[in-house]
Formats: sequence, structure tokens, C-alpha cells
Amino acid sequence: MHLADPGAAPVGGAALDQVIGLTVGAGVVTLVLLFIAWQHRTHRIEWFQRLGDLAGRLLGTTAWAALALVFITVTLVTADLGFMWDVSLHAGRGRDDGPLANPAHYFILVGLFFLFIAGMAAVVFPRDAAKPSRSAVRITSSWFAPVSGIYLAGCGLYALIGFPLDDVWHRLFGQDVTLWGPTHLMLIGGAGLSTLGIILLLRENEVSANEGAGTAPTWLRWLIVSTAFGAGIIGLSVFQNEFEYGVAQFRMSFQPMLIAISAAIPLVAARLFVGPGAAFFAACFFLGVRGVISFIVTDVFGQAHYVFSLYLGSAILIELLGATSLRRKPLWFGAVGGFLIGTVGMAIEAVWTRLVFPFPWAKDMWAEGLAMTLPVAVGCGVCGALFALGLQGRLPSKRVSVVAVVLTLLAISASTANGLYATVPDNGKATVSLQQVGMPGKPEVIAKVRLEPANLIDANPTWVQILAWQGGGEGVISDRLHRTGPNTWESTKPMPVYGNWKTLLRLQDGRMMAAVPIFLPADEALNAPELPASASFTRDIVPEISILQRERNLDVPTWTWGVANLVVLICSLLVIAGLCVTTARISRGVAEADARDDRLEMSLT
Amino acid sequence: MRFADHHAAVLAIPAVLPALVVVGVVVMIAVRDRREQRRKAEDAEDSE
Repeated sequence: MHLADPGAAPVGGAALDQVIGLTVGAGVVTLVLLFIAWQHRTHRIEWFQRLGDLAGRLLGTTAWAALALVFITVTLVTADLGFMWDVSLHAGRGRDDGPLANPAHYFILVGLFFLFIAGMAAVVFPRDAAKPSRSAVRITSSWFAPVSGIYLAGCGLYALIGFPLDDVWHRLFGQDVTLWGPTHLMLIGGAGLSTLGIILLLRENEVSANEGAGTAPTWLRWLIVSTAFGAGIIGLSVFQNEFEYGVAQFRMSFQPMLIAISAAIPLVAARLFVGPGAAFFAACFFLGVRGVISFIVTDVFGQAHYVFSLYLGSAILIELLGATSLRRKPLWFGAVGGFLIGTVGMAIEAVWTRLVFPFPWAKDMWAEGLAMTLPVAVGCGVCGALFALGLQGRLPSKRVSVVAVVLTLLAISASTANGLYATVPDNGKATVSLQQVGMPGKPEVIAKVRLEPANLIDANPTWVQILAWQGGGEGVISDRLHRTGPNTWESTKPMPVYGNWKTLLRLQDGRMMAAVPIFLPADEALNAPELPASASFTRDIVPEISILQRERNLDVPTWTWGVANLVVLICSLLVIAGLCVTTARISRGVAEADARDDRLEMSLT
Repeated sequence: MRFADHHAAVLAIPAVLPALVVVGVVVMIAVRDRREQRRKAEDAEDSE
């Protein structure tokens, strides 16, 4: 494994031989897969059919669903591990010295490619004009593809398109070392939203399996579907990553809103669709998988440490609510469940952040956090209920469903817009005196800080911290400063100011979010000189982005930023629309199958 | 313009191109089938 000195790393990257190797490899894999698909569909081979049948017998599903399930499990484990490893590497070391110089990128790339292949496996498998399910989509007169397979392949494609768009993005705006770059959101969002596709695939399979092939035993079905909902929590929680490392470049009021989204949709849907215990099991599955991956990334690979949210409180709330008669009114159940998650559930998460997170939720963001979270939580709870109703073939009228989804998206957009609105104080200055400790050649400093104007920070700021990151290895160190007076603070531990470390004072109080650089290394690729950590200095308080994302090119006209965001937004809305359409189509299939079963029963009695 | 400047585009070649090829093949098959069926339907109308 080779990781170059990040200070010398070019802002782009170069590893031509690796890319050629990987391209040839992927090209051969694609040709082989296309060849197998063609031979299978024209009856030149039978082993692919037998393989599917075998997987189906083992999992208790139809052959096409079993193949996709096996692929997608491998995919998500690979991609999630690669993703967490990648974020750890970037937090610890900064940008890469090449596209494949970072070993984690292989995992992400292979994972996302196989997500696409998983969907395509379900699409190409059914042959001889056999309809894989009632919801199948006609491709030709003799080829019907399961709609959930098409959705999964679409998620894979959406994520993969993030790569070339990411390049255009970096060329326009410079490299943004943040998880929340819009194209980065596509990469992780595609994989995240595919987890709901697994649940749709399982259900679509059942509707076809009911009409012929055998179904899985009840306990196995419960386990598989509850696990899929747990994967749903993992998939929807990917956006919280920066908070988990304590390097959030956004206002903290975002965090409860994001947790509420990833809790409300899967937990409400799991309880309504699968039954008692499923929401709790899903939360436990989330904790187990994230725990194991955290162990691998931090303890085995030795990269930056991170923590994750609890979800158990929210899961128990939903289980308790499930014991009441409200569960017979699913939409109300979703709304009340979302409300409970947004209030009590988030209070439990607040305690959890105090116990394990680098930065607990400060009093200062409680009210705003609640205002941003509550409408989103209620909306997502209703959407979770709609998802469960869709799986049961009982979706309410199209108008009700569309209005609920659109209102939820609007609530999320409004909260996001509010969260992104941050201010930088005019004429703010920080006077810092540094006491040098640490070894010669590796200086570390203890800081005393005075902020001007004196009333800049109120009694309960979100944070006043010193962060040092991208210094190599486990390179994220943060220190919540100890307040010594109305506008003075001091360090509680030494912070590094040498090598490639980027060390800065960070302030967040209400809407104000700003920073003061303490030490920044020289960066030849960016033509930036070193900013030394002098014994004492007074520096202006500046926007964080100018320090945390030095690579960013901030001189582009605003309209390009708007257009670029619009392109990503359209792609993302298409995926969400795809999810809704797929759910509705499967719902109709389930309803038809149920009606047919009822008619059969009637004719028998 | 350096090769090194196109970090993600380079990463995209091995993954996105094959995926687009596969999608292209499926769409082509679907379009060809529909066109053929339309032609058959027209032929049937003509012969009537």
C-alpha cells in the first residue's frame, strides 16, 4: 500500500498503469458478463440457470432474486468498507496523490460496479418470455425484467455517473475535501438508496414466488427482510459521516435532522411491514455492522477513529408505538412515530453524543435543531409508512402519496437551506499566544486565545475548538477549548504544528461559523506558502472553507455553481422518483396477486 | 492540461464505460424489438 506525502501530492492525480490495468480488467469482466447473458438467454448454456435455481433454493427465493441478493450483499459490504476507509484516509491524510493511489478507491469502484451488475443480473435472468413477477417491465416481446432489478441497476448507474461528474466539478471548482460535495453525495447516495431497492426486490420476488416456486420459511423471511431494513439504516446514514469523525464542515443542527431521516423511514417501515421486533433488530444490525467496520478501519487499518449514532432509542419508541392500536392506521402511525423519533429519539441521541461523540450537541443548537428535525422526521415517518403500505399492496390514492412525498422533500430542502446558511463575523479577530511543547522537529503547542469583539461568543457556543487534521495516519485531533473568561479560552491538550498538519481554531455559535488558521503547511501544488505558528499573533476570523478546503477554487462565477448543483439535483430527484415509481408498481402487483388469491379462496368455498 | 488533473474522470473509465455499454446494449435490443413489432403490425395491416 503506497500513500505519498500529501503535501507533495498533485491536486489531481496520476497512476496511469493502474488505471489501464483496471480498465482492461473491467472491460474483460463486462464482455464475459455480456457473453454469459447472451448465451443464457439463447439457451446455449444452462449452468447459469442452475446456479440461480441453487441460490434460490438456499435463500428460499426465486432464482433471479437470489442471484441479485448474493451480488448486492457482496457489493454493499465492499463499498461500505471502502467508503469508511476512504473517509478515514482523507480525514487523516488529505487529498490523494492519484486516483488509485488510495487503496480504498478500489473497494468503492468495485462495489459500485457490482451494484449495477447485481441489478442487471436480475434483469437478464428471466428468459423465454417468462414474467418474473406481476410488476415486471416488458423489454422485448420475449423478455420481461423485474422492476426492482431495473431500480437497483439505476442506483448503480447514478452512483457511477458521480465519478465523471466529480471530475467536471473538480475542474470547475477545485477539489473539495468534504464528503458533502454534491457529486460525492451522488456516489454515496446511489449506494445508500439501493438498500431500499433490496427490500423492494425481496417483495417483488415474493409476489412471483407465491404463484409457483416455494417461499422461504417464516423465520428466514423475517430475518432477511429485517436485515434488509437494517441495511436501509446504514444506507441512509452515510450522509452523517463528517459528524462521526468530528470534522463536520457544516452547522451542527444538521446532525439530528440527518439521523431522523435515516431512523424514521426504515424503522417505521420495518415495524409496519415485518412486524414486532423488526425495527429493534434493524437497529441492532446497524450497530453490529458499523461496529465491525469501525473496528476494521481504525484498529486493523490504523486510520482515523470515528463513532456513530445509536438508533436504539428510536427503534424502541417505534416498537412501543407498534404495541398500540395506532398501527392499524399506518399513515398516522408514521406521523406519530416520526414525531417521537424527532423529539424523544433525538433527546436520547443527544445524550449519546455527550457520551461518545467528539462534539456533543450544545444547548445553543437545541431549538434550531428541533425546528429543523421535527417536520422532516414526521414527513419521513409518513414516507416510511407509505413504503410499508406499498410493500403490502395497500398504497393510498396517488394524490395522497405524491403530496406526502413532495411535502417531505420540501421539508428536507427547507431545513437544508436553513442549515447551510452560516455567517462570518465582520472585523472578528483572534489573538493567540502559543506555548511550544513536544519534541524538537515535531513541535506541538498549547494555545491561549482571546476573541474580539468581546461579545462575539455567547454563554453556550456550539463549539470553540482547535482541530488538527490531514497530518498522516490517524490524523484527526480535536480539542474542545476550556473557557477561562468571557472572551478567553485555552487548550486542554497539545496540538501538532509541523509537517502536513493543518491546525486551526474553529468557532461555531448560532449561525456564526468561522475559523482562524494556526498552522498551515506550504503547498506547492496550490502555490500556497506555509502559515507558521508564531509564538503570538493576531489573525482575522475567516470563513472555514478558505482553510478547510484550501484546494477549492472560489473564483468561478456563481451561475456555474448554480447550474452544477442543478444537474446533480435533477439526477438525485430522478433516483427518488425511481424509488417511488418502483414502489407503486410493486404495490399494484401485490394488490393484484392478493385479489387473485381472494378469488381462488372464494371459488373454493 | 495534465493527466493528473482528471482524477475522477480517470477513475470513471473502468467503471462507468462498461456500465454505459451494458445499458446501451439493453436499450438497443428493446428499441429494435419494438421497431420490428411495429413493422410486423403494419405488414399485417397491409395484407388485410
